[in-house]
Amino acid sequence: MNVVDVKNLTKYYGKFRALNEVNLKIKQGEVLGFLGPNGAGKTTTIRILLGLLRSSEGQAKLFGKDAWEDAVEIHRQLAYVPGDVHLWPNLTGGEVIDLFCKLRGGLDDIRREKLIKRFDLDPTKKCKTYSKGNRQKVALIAAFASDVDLFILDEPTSGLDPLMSAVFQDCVSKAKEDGKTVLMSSHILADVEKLCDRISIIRKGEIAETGTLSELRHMTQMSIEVETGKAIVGLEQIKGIDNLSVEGLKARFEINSDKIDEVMRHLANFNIRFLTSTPPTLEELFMRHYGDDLVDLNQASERSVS
Amino acid sequence: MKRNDFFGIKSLVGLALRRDRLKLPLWLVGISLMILSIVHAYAEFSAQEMKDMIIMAAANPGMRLFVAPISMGVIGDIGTFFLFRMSFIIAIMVGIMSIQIVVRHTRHNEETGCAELLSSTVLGRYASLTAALIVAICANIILSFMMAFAMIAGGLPAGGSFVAGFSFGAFGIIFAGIAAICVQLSENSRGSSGLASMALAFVFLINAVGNILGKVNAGGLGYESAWPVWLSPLGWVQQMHAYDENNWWILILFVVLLVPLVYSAFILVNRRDIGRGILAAKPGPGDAPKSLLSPLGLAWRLQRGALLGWMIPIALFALIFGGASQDFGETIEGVEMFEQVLAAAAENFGFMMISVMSVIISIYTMQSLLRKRTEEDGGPLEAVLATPVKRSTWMASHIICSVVGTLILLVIFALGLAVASEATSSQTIAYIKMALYQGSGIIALAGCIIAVYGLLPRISRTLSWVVVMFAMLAGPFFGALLDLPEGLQEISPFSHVGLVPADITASGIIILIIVGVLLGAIGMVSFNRRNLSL
Repeated sequence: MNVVDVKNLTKYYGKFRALNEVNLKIKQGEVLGFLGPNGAGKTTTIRILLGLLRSSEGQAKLFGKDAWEDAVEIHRQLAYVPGDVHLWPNLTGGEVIDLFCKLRGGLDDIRREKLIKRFDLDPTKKCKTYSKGNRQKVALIAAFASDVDLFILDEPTSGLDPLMSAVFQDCVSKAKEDGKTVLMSSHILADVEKLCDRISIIRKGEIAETGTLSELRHMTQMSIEVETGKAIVGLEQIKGIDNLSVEGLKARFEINSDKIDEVMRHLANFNIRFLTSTPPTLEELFMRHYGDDLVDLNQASERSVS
Repeated sequence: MKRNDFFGIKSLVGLALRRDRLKLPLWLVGISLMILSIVHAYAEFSAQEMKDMIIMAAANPGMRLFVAPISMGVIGDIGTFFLFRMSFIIAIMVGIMSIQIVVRHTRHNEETGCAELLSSTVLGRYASLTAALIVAICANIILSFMMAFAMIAGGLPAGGSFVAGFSFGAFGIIFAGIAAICVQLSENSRGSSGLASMALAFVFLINAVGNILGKVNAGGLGYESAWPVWLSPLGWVQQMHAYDENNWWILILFVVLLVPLVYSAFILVNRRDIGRGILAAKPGPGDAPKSLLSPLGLAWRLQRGALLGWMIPIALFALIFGGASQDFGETIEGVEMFEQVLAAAAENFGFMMISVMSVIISIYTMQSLLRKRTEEDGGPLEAVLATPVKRSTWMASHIICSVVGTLILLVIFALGLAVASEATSSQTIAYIKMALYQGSGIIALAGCIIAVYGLLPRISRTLSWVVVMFAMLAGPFFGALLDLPEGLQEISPFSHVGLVPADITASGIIILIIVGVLLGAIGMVSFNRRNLSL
């Protein structure tokens, strides 16, 4: 059974369509990265999953229960860290951690102490004196100290320094080892790359792609750099080659994964001396999905310049 | 202070005016139009009608809280009659306008982080506060002229109209100064506004004490205030006696008060960090006490500070009014014609005060119910409702705290009154009963505010203020003074409680409570069904 099961989820704010037929499935024990630029609909999706917002169309189920109708039942099994952590200014961090753990059903004192130490948080300070990162730590400690099956984390690392990011990654890995399920939205690609089993990319309220990192990589292009003994000719005639540049004995190009064999046979004729092939990074995947926005932007700025 | 410390004021004033391009004109035009329409309406009254109304209000201590002193010689003039009835309301509105302007352009800016961004540009240390004060003071000066013109347009004499207009403008400027201090003391705009509103209530109540202790003229034709009014800027407004004595010189008092207010605000700016209050946050316990660990415990923890903040002034005023009730008996003896009316008034003085105070305590109830909105709107509610806490549990916890807090305040006032007036034990019990009866009116009002919150969260703050102001103005102390049609007066729950024990009926109380519970249930159901409005 899927822990999270979202089908054709659509959400309107007035006339603005924030989500359009979003589909999302997370299996037990899986870590799903939910990627998208600002304003793509990540937080809206998460808030619907939590029963804080009502969907306009479609269904959202967690643990097989309806996200809106059975919100309270569902919440017994999950912990949530909001993207923008707001806390009560006159309560201390320690009090807030205790409160959230208690509201979720129980407090594990030992785990709490351990986490506070690892995240290097002073729990006696009033929340109003915490920085964004420290408020995030409070919410993360409260989440990971709770005994739940699903973690929903909305841009959990956006305020953390690299050291704390590493601690956070540890916590997620540990949760995964324990068979917990994690939904994590982010636009910090390094986190997603390290932690997530699968990735869903959302843009403008629609899911653009879903798959494992290697699946997504297959769908995109490899970069190849090659140096040969003889001058290379005829590469431009192979279909599927992009961004080709040949300078004497060196060539650089991008190629769809399914054409690699053909290209290698062709290159072999020219006495290969040196060759590197780089799989696409998540950045490149990301850029491919939002790249046309960048192109638009460049064109716009060019227009404004001319 | 160096010249550099004030650098950038011009751009900040421009920014403030740009941000308030709608709000500010609405305030100015709204107040002026209100004055014009009321002056216009009063022109219809005959001298006898005015005289009757003045006698009714002057003889009644509860009503004297809300009317200005008026001397015998000018009874029958529209101008003095207008101020007699309206000076308190106009002053409160002008005061609220000033508070809003100053808080919005200082502390609110800091809270949202705009001030941080602004301060990193070429901007002097005092520029933000100075700009806010300049905007507030200019707004009040323009408003003074507009109010004067409105009164003149209504057919009142020019000299008196300018005295009246500038008395209110000066009152507003004083509150800009008070707000300038409040925004330094509290760390958020809600707290700053609360503190400044508390000051406004204080100024009003001190003036009211002076008016209640005042001497009623022979025949009930107006009254003269006692000395405590000189402790309150609202007293100064009323003692200017526009259209009568036209005491221009009192404006000097406003200036004399303004200087230290502004000066202390500037000193406080220098003593604190941006985004912080004057007191450093102290560390607290690293673990939560058991009492916090439930929705109800949390709601209580979040609301108890405000409750305490209200308890102290409420208790203080209970003591003052209780003491005044004994003096009140003395002030009426000289008046023969109205002895019976006044004797009845003296007997019911305590009950009357409890009724009046219940109307003021309803502001606490509203603020405490609106706490829910603060939790929701950019607050931690999102995270709380992502735990297994039911929406209705969360909401009920807050409502219980609000209602219990309200009842506590009512009982404290009744007890304070009884103690200070040396009441017998049966009288004390009668006071407490009266206070609880008045609670039923507040419960009906609370139901309405809960419904507004459930149905229209985004405008619930404004709408709740409108509801409470309306209930006050249409209620028994104002409705009759404002000459509102009976149908409108009937809408206010306060019109149905009864001011003295003889007027109170069980059915009335029960109906009010039922109305409150029904409205509250509507609010609860709609909150359960709606999107969180984050």
